[in-house]
Amino acid sequence: MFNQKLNKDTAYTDEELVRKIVAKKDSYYFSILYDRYARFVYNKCYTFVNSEEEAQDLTHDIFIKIFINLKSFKGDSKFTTWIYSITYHFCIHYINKKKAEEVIFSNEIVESVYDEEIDKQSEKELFEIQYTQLQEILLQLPVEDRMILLMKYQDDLPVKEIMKILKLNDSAVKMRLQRARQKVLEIRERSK
Amino acid sequence: MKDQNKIENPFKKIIQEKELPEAMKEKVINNINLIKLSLELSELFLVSIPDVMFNFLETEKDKKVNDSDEESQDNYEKKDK
Repeated sequence: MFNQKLNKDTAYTDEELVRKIVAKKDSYYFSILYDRYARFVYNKCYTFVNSEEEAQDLTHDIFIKIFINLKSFKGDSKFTTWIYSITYHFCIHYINKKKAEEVIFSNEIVESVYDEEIDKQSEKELFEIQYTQLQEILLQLPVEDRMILLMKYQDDLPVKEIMKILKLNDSAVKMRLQRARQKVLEIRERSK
Repeated sequence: MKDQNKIENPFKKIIQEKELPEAMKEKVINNINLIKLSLELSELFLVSIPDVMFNFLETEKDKKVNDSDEESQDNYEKKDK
């Protein structure tokens, strides 16, 4: 029986599951989707809030949001990108609401110019940092900078995927990455 | 040799792999079922019942029109006689 259920669970692609959930609103199919992505969503939330309790509450709310918004998934992007995007924006909204007095995320017009050479150099310097120190530095960064760096260097997401998640264009993503790397290097310099 | 010179990515060493409590799944699924129920109820009251009422009223209206048609037909036949 268990094997039968297990085979059934792996038999569907994400897209097939989405179609079934939207058509039947069946929580059984949603539980399969939950099993596939709960750990991923939870760990992403934890990276944002750095608290298990808050990350669990966020994970719960994100899955409710996923269920309600599932019919808006049209398959234009990979399902993982769609989930990542919902998780990212939900957490950003939560953090911004929590720190309403602080302006931590600005959709500012980027004044500096993207430079590929600086990019390569700062990437090299970034990889020279010890991971224990990097962990501490990341916690000092604004959450948007921390997340974009993790998308790029931990999840290996290509710029195109990051563009979809953050709803930004190519140059804005590259600029944000460049700025985030520079901030890491600045913090490292200060702590020397 | 190439691999030895390659700089290791420190981001890969700080991956968090935390486990979500099993109770969370039950909580999410219970709330999903609650949402599903409320959606079905609202659908019932906002779509199904108004539809039934509308169909009922339409049928009643048609019935009245048919009845009055039959009545006038009867009257017409009586006059002829």
